[in-house]
Amino acid sequence: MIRVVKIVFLFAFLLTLFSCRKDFERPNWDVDLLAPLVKTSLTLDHLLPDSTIQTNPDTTLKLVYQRNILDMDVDSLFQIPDTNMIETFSLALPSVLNPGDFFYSTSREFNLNVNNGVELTTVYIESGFIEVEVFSDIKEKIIAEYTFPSATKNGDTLVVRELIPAATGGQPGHLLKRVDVSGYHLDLTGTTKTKVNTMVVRASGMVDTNATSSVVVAVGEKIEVHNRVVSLVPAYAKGYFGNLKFRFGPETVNFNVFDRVTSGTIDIDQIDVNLNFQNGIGVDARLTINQFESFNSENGGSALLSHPTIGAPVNLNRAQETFSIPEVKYTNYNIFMNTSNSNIDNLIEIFPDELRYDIDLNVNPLGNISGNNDFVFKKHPLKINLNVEFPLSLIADNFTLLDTIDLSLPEGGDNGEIIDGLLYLYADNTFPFDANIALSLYDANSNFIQNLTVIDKIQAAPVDGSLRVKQMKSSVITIPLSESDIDNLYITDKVVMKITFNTLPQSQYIKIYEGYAIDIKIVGDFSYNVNLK
Amino acid sequence: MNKLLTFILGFFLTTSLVAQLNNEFFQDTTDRVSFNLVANYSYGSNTLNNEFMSKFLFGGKIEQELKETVYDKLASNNFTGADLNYTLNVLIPMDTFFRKSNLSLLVGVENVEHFDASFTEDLFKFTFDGNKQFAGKAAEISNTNYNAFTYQQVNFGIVSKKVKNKKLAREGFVVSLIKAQSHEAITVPRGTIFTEELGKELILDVNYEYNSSDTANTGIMAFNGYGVSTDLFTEFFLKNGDKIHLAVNDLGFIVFNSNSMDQTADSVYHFEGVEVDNIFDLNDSLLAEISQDSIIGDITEHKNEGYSIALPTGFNINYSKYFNQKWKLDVGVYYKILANYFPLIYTNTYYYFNESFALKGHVSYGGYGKLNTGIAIAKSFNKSVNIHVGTNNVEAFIAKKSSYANSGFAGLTVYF
Repeated sequence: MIRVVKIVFLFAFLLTLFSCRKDFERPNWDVDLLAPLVKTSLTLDHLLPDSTIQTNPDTTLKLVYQRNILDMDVDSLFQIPDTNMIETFSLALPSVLNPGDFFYSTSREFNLNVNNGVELTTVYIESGFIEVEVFSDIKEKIIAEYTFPSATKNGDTLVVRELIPAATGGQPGHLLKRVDVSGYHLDLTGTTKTKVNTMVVRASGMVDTNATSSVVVAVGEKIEVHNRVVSLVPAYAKGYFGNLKFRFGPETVNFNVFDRVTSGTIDIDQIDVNLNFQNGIGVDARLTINQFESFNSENGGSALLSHPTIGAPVNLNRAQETFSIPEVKYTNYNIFMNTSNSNIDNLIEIFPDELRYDIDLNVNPLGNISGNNDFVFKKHPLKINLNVEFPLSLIADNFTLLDTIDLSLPEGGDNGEIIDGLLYLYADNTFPFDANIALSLYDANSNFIQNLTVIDKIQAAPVDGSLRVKQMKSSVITIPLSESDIDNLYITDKVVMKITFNTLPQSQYIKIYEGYAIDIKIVGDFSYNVNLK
Repeated sequence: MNKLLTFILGFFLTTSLVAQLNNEFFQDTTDRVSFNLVANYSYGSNTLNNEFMSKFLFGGKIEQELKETVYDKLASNNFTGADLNYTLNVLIPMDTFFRKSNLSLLVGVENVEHFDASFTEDLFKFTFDGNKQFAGKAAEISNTNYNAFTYQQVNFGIVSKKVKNKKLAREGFVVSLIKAQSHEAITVPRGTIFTEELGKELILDVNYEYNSSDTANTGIMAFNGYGVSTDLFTEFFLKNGDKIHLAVNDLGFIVFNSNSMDQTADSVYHFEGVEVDNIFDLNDSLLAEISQDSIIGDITEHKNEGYSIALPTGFNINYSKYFNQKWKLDVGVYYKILANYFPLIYTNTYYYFNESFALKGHVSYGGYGKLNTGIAIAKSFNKSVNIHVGTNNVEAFIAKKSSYANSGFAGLTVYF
């Protein structure tokens, strides 16, 4: 009994010892931190995304923006629909056929039903299939052979030769054969070589040579053949494409140069816009631009283009087939617009984010003057391109860019939290712009929380007599962060940053030169509570 | 970078202990099985006072005033350390098996946690007051180091005893097989952290090495390495009946497995903020690049491989003077290598009220502290259950601001 008491005593002591050990509360203390946070450089590329800044020979910069507005390719001109031609062969009298006996042989044409009245003589297939489906009432296997003299590839004619099962128990023998015709050339001039859209098929059938006995074919027993073209996509087509009329629009395309601009004005000294038409199709075309408009969806502003070509037809000559690489020699037509012959600057200065157009296109306005020699390559469409180019010589008046930064500070971080402090933004500016910065805090539901106080601005670099910056200007912007500001930062999900630019001097067009930038370094000066959680 | 933070903060986070010196109150000269259970802790520093250590260990706000009291004491060479041990040993007389009356077999288990560090004044101020005070200057962090480990071991030993005038002297050895749980160490032979006057740049010039056991495998069940250690001890009587005790503790090593980590750096690193190509693209993921791990990753060579460490080994020499049945005096020196430990000179004075109740007074200087004063009491119940409890740092409970170490110990011996 005493021994048991001793053991109990021992374990009680052991338990007491280990139960004394616990995870203690962790300490915390305040530190003052002074550290660089972000280093960046703000250039025109950042201010005007999706555009290309190019350098002129005199090192001034120009903005170049290019985008394709419209492509008209073979799909727009015509399509070859899936087509099914059914042929039936039957014997007029009861017959006994021996193994190897031919019992039908025929040659037929069928039309591809090309839409839009297009008359094709030649097609090269990019992708697609020809299907042959046979139903046979003959009670013996037969060998069916289908030849498509119209379809050739590398000089070989397309031939389908298959063994059709015998009909049994009232069920016809059945075969479905699908042939990939990618890369095939189709001659669509029929047997006479004078037709259009016409394929030729030769079919023959004989009793299986391996059959062990003759077969009796009764009156009414037949062979039914379904010839189909499926999902034909031409890589090249030739013929007469008809006198077609198309209308493109009213259509809207995005214009992303000024995505970040929210307000203010810029006065652009000079602007050149080139509406470029490139015809890669072997047809004559007549284009009429009914309307061309820029639109700012943020503020509803719009500007309608005024230029002599609006409403006036433009003739585009047909492309030339080169029979080499590249296969096509494009024809080009350009409509040049500038501040002298149009109000194009008005279209740009509203900071549009959309362009709207309405264009009529008439193919072969003079009819079949090519003698069925219109052509189209799938990869060579008729294109309309917009090229905007303007030297960066401008006056900016409260020209304001806005962007949203996702920012979620981890509340109650592993090592502590910011108490309060200052953010310093050190800026070395070589732009002749003043820049005011405003920062607004929003929560995850985009509800406004507060604005942060921003003391001072990025000052413009001074310019010399030729209005060129000779030395950078350093500025310090201070952003005080009180305890309540910090509390709000911890519940912030988005920071909206607004930068407003003003060129100095305001009355003169200022040219922007290569190398202009604002070098920014953000330094945090914080009281921080270290908390070893 | 978590390692750097751990490194900096680890200097000041202490949770372990060292064996308490000479708590032999009652001597049992009979041959019987005994269970000996001991737990002890100690922590201290030559510059960090107990109030600071108490806040740091047990939580709460470390106010500026408290930091200032520490700053006043910071020296060129500052060190701290801590130990925490739990031991259960069973002593089995050999005559139970082999009829050897003076030999006993020792088997037991032990949990060992240890931490020690050496740090500069600048590193302490940098850690507890931030880098702003160093604007335009460099904080010196050279010659600092940090070492922390936890392991469990199984003890096997042979203890022989001899009795003279009813006094007991023992000698023997204990071999321990170690299961390593965790280890972390940083050494910085050279290092400065420069803060540009306006905070536009931080320059870290550092030569350092960081080692860590497998961080994905933690907890008491983690088996991240193995090792062996040995305790050797002997006691002998002088002609006058006094006793000399010599001991070497924890002479051994641990080999950590290939999942362990080794980071080294010997370079100058300039940090001017996270480089953002376009300020409009600033977002959380870019800000996350400011993370400590990414910065450390930029400047260090990192590899996973095994490594080994030598254990901090303790040496003890003790002289016990027996005045009479009531009074006994110990004088000794304890030193531990590889542990940022200052030699500890100590005395223990025992007063026996009777054969079953004793009081001990302790005075020492050194170790992980400065001047230490302690008290312990021990009680024996029918010579079959002995308990003792005490501290070597009474001053830690009385004058926290002017004392620099704390400790406690408790023991239970049950005889069968």
